[in-house]
Amino acid sequence: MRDQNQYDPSGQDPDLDLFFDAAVRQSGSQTISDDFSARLLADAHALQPPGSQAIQEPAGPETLRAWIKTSLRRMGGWPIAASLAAATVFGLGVGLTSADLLGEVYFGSDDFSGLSGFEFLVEEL
Amino acid sequence: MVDLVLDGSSKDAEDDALLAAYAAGDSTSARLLLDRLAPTVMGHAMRVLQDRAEAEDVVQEAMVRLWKQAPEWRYGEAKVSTWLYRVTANLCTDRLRKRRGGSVDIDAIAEPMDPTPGVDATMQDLSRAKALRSALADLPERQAMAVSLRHLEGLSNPEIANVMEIGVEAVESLIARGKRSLRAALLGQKEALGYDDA
Repeated sequence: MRDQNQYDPSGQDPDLDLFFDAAVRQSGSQTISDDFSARLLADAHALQPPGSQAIQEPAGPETLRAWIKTSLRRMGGWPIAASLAAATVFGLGVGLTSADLLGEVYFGSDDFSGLSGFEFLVEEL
Repeated sequence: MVDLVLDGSSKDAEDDALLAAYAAGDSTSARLLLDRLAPTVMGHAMRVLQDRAEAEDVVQEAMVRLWKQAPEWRYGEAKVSTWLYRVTANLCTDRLRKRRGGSVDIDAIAEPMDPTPGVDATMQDLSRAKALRSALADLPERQAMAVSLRHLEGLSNPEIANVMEIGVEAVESLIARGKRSLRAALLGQKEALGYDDA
């Protein structure tokens, strides 16, 4: 048997380990009773910071990107979206260009007297 | 089970995330944190105090302090589990001081519940556990805490250093001196406690 006063700095001590092991087995893992758990949970809810809301999806670029993807998918994909964008640009161009220039470009003349809808414009000019 | 596949740092990160979610108002994170942390600190409080009602009071107080701390928690600076251990250990120490002030007899403390009654080995375990508690109660508080955290809770020396807010070398010294005293106290009871059957 080894010297009773000898202490092993590595922490190995079979004699004392018998006692430690027995104590651990005796107390075992502590289960939390339902009643105690309910008390702890009530404390947690009572002390939860006021005015805070449930966690929300992060806002910003990720949300915008997701919205764009969803919209594109609903429209029919990139080709449809590109066509729609081109038509929009063309429409804006037509709307912003002067009537005389449009007449020259599309009809070869700035005389709109024969075209219904342009009469009032010509009269005013 | 999650605990078996996560290393310590992953568990700590999950504790951090759950505490942040609690502070942000998530209603489920409190229960998840309780499930992860409460049994462990309850085990420590029971081992130290040997009284379920007192242990529950200590754990409840420790958890209340954690909930209050949540909005100002400094993530990455301290582990939630270590912090909770520290608070629980300090609360247990306060309780023990009050008891000692009232000169509570260690033999008067109720035996813990025995999960496997009717076995001879269990009786021996009971005797050994009681003797160890008695010997631990006679140690200086810091030695008893260090020895308990190391050999009953299974914490590493660096973890104990964090809990006790001292250096690792100081922990080693406390444990060494504590175990030396325990050996001296327990060796005299070896026959009565079945010491030679290892």
